[in-house]
Amino acid sequence: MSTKIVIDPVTRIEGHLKIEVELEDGKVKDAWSSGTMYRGFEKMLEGKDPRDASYITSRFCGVCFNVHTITSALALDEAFGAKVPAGGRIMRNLLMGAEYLYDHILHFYHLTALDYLDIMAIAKYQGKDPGLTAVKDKIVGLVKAGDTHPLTPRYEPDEFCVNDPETVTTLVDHYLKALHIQMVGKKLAAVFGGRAPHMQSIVVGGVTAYPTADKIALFKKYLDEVVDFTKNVYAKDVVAVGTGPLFPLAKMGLGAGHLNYVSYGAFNQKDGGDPLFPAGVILGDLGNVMPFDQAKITESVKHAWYKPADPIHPAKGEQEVDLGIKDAYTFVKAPRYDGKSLEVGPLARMLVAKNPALMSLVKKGAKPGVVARHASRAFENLQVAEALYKWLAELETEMKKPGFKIHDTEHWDVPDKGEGAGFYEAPRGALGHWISIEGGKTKRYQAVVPSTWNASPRDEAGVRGQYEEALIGVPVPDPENPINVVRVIRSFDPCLACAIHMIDPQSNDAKKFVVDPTTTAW
Amino acid sequence: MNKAVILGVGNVLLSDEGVGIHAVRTLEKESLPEGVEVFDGGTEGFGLMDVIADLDRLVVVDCVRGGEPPGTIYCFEVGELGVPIDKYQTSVHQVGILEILHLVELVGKRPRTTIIGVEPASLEMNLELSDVVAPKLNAVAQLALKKVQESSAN
Repeated sequence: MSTKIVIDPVTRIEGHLKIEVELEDGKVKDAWSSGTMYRGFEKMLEGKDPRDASYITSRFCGVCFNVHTITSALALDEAFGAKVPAGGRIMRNLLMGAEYLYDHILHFYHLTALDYLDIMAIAKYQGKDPGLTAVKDKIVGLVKAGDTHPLTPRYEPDEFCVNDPETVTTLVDHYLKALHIQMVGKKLAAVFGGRAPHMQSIVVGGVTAYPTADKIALFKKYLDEVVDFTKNVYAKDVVAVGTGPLFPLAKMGLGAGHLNYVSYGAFNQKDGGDPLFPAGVILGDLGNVMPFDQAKITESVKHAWYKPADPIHPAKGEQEVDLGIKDAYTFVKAPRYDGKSLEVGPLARMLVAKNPALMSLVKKGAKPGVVARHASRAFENLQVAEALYKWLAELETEMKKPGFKIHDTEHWDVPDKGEGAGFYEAPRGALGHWISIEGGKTKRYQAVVPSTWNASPRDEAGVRGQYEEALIGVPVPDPENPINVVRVIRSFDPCLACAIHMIDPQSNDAKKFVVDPTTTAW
Repeated sequence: MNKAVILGVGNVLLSDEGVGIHAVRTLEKESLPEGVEVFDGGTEGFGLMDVIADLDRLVVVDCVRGGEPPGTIYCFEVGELGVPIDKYQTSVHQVGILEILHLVELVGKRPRTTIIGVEPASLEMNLELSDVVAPKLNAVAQLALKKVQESSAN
């Protein structure tokens, strides 16, 4: 006897995602992932100055703005024939590295940690630590006032939840501290970004913000604070929980999915190469990392609401909406690599990089899945933190050289014709942009975002996307409490790129607050 | 010296969804009273906490679906709608401005916050406001400027 449950929308993620699962004998038998918002912002770039792409793509999304900016700049670099000088390359790394640091911390504490905590255990905290007692008083006070949002989990705690009062109280304390770190992280990003959000500094040919001693000192000040938290709080929490109370989930490999992974590579440490996160592909055999070849990417629209077409490379893809397609259930296309359904994101990057900390966790018995994804985020943030200091030192060395440059100004003018592709790793996974220029204007633009890979529907062969596959076999003993389903989905850090901010009060009271600009009442 | 901010939020790629950003851009061209700043929050969520956390007074300009005719301007204090803050639906964006205010309160103080909203006529992909909302832009910007100078007392 099977039951179907629908989670719509999955909360605490960016964008609108609907997950439907079919349960049998307390486990997920089949799953469908639907992106229910049409995205096709690329059309807006057609006919515009190609350099606008760095600013317009930044507004595609409510999370990944800066990653769109750099990926569009990489596509433009190729199309314009621009050679980014060392100063520009290092500055781009500093900007994107800062983004990783706060993005992963935010994901762990604010978007997903509550899936693993029995938050009410705080009330049982009997310790003497004044900081933790204050946290307990604060949370208990909120509960008494009937105001536990956003700490209240949507689902009931299960047997995997951490319920030791001291551990839970400590993690909630860190949740609150991480809110402060978010604020520092944004200031960090703005030092060289010109502004946050929607930084303006990265453009074709390099960056526009010139590093000065003052700015470097300010960057270091903020960086020290974020890195201290990353090393001494965030990474330690993830490892302690992942190898402690959550180790059973790690061993069972909850939410593994297809064991196929791709990383496009990111953070070039030399001109045109030596990325901190290498590019590579894994198809089933974790020990065998193959070179990444972008020509092997295709997108299928078989189960998406678009005009039927054969799978095709994204640089050539069309997107004409057709809501009448039989068997379609999403606006998300199905990207495939060499015909295979792949996972992108931190686990893919750390497996491709053979990260020693992750490999040692695997040796202890952890399998790819939710816990490995959270651990990979922490491990790569440690790598980024260390690299940021190295890059700062390199920048200071470069600045002393005669002819120090941050931008290839020779290639600022728009070519009459050109084609380019940009590949980068957003914190949530592989991001690709493709541009073609004709008559000095953007003729075509395409972006394949990380969650398109992970949230993809079935393809021509009926092979599931990664979210769908990762849900197969997941225990859901109580259909009213699908906590494992959201654990799996949120472990990917979904971002469905739609970014609408509109306030919808869902009440009839708005009428009372109408103001009329033709009167002088206000 | 009080610190006050007019914060425009929304997606400037989707016509009237970007009314907050357009309002901020209008005000950027004016000379603002001392202690008042304007801020383009774009499509950011959590990242706006650092903008809000040390303020005395905040005015948010955003697109609001209140059910009145397109182009209607709303002005209300957060909480005045009589709906708990977590029940405000910020459409598909799961971490909207009202939720951010709630988080700010967890780590510090929340400034007195007024929302100025505009009922959208169009959410189509377009960098311009619709013909219905565009003529209201100046009134929206001036209302924001007037409100931001009001008392910061909650």
